Amino acid sequence: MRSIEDIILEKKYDELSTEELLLVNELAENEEEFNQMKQLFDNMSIEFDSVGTVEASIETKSSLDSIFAAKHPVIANDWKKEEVVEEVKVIAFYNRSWVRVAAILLLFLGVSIPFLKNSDEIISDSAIQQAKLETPAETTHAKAKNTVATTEDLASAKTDEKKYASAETLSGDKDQSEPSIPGKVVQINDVSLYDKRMNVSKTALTYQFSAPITTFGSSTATAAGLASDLYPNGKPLEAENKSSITSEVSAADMLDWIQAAY
Amino acid sequence: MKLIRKEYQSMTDEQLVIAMAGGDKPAFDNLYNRYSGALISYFMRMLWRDREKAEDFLHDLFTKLIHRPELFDTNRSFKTWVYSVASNMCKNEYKKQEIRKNTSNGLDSSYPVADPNKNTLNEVHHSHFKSRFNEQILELDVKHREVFEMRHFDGLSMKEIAEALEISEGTVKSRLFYATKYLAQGLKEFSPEQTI
Repeated sequence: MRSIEDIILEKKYDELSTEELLLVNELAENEEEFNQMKQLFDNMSIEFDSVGTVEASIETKSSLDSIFAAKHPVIANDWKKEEVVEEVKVIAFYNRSWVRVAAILLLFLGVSIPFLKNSDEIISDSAIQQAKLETPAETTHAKAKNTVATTEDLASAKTDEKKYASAETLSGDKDQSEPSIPGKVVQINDVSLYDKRMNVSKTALTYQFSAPITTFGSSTATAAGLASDLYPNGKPLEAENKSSITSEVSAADMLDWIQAAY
Repeated sequence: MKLIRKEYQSMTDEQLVIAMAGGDKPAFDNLYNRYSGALISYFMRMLWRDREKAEDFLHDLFTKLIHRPELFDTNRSFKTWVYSVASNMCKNEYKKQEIRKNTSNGLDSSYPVADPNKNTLNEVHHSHFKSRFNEQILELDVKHREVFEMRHFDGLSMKEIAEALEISEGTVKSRLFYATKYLAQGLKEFSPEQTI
């Protein structure tokens, strides 16, 4: 924005716009005053030039230099030397090597994590599938075992003594110093041995055993429990047809083999 | 690592003062070169064209700056600050002169002292207007004169004058208009209409 002085110097009174006239009126109310101002500023411009050439003397400067040297002696001694400033190399944060390495690692992790996650999912899926395949047999086994457990608890309480007796009878070792223990009976009743070694059916064995064991097999619950004990990994296919298999080995022979096995 | 030369020319006045306060001699030299001419002109105008006195005042001002650079408030403009210091120095001098005047032998202390360094040939050209102008401006009250001179001789803006003299911009404006009107009225004999 131009000042009033500029307007007065550059324009004539007739050439002033309404806005400029309003501004100028603060200083010059009429054309006569305006022209007086104009002349004053014109003449003053000459005066400015002549005054502007004034310079301080060298003596003043040299005196000030000595005062400055007295105030700052150490620095002022070699002030004529070229002024050098040490420029510290400024490295941007993102340009620092450790930031770059960290960024690459982050990028790598960011890319690889989804893949790792997927592979985990694949593994877990296959594990689930495998588990699903295994679960039915195990579940049946577990269910049966649970059912049997309750039945067995009741039955075992009644038949323990008879089992021991029958076991002792079956083993034929009446001189055995060790008393008969339920564990031993179980071992004897582990028909899988017979299944594996002698291919003898459970039914046949049950039949050969004494009465308590026969009753043991008569109940469906106990049969299921027995089956679960016999086939912890699920009932083999041939087991279904085992009822039709008849033993060709006598009970006495079997007991001999069992005894030999222990 | 790179070594560069300090660019004093591109530094602001305030930066130079800070550097000077830390003992940077080239910074002081640059600051002196920037303001010595303008300040000695100011002092000469304000102190009855007495060059010797103006030189003394300039010396005193820079001595103050060397010894007590903390006096300068870096939040302010150095230009306005240095002019305010100069203005106060002149006001103190007026007070001293006023006391002397009362005890003087009757000589008018405000009478312009001849400057031996003045170019007499230039004075011939402008002598008539200049002498009348000087007479007229010395007739002005100090408060009006300093505003007028700061505006027209030192080239300070209204705002800078207001800061330097610690008065409002409105006051600066009114003082300036009064001084201009007074001078124009006093020098109207130099206007074209009057000369015809």
